[in-house]
Amino acid sequence: MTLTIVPDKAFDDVFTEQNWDTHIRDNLNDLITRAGLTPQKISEQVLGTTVASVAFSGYPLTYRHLWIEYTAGVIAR
Amino acid sequence: MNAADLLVRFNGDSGTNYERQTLHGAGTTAGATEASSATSATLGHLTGSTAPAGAFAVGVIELPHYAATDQQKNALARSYYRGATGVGGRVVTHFGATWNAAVATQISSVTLLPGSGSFISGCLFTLYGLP
Repeated sequence: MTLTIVPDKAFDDVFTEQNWDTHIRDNLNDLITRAGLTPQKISEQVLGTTVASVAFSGYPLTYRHLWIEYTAGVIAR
Repeated sequence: MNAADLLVRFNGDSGTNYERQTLHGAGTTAGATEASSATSATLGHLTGSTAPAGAFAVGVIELPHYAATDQQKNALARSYYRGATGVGGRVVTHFGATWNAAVATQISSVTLLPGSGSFISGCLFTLYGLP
C-alpha cells in the first residue's frame, strides 16, 4: 500500500465513500504497517568524557533483531 | 595510531568464545582476516589519535535473532573511517562474527570496547530494536 495525498475540502463538500476508503482507512492502515516495520530507538549514549567501554543492557528481549549504530574514535591510554 | 578495532562482548563473556571474519579495502588494496578463540568479537573500527582532526569512524552492527533460544548467535557489521588524508587513508570493512555460547543463551547485554586506548568525548552509540 502507499499513502494517498488527502484532497482539500471546501465548506459543504460531500464526504464520500472514497474519502473514507482511500484517505482515511487505507492511509491509517498503511501507517500502522509502517510503524510495525520501523526500527525503534531503545537507548543512546553520547560520551561527554573519555571512557574505557560502553554497555547496553536491560533492553527488551522481544525485538526480532538488534542494531547498533555508532560514530566513534579513541585516544591512546 | 590512526585507527583501532572496535571489540564487542556479549553478556560480559570474556572467554575465548568468539570467531570472526573480515573483508576490507583501503585505497586499491583489498584484504581479509580471520580469528578464532578470541576473547571478543571484532565488529568495527575506530579513528585513532593521529587521524585527521574531527574524524570519527562510523559503523553499524546487526545482531539478528539476538533473543533466539535455538540458534547460535552471529553478528554482521560494517564500518568506515578516514584515518589519513593520503592514498589508502580511507578504509571500509565488513565483519562477521560468531559467539560460541549455548544456543539457548539470549544476548542480554552488549559491551563495546576499544582495541586500544579509550573512547573519546563526542562518541555516539545508538541501540535500535527491529520488530
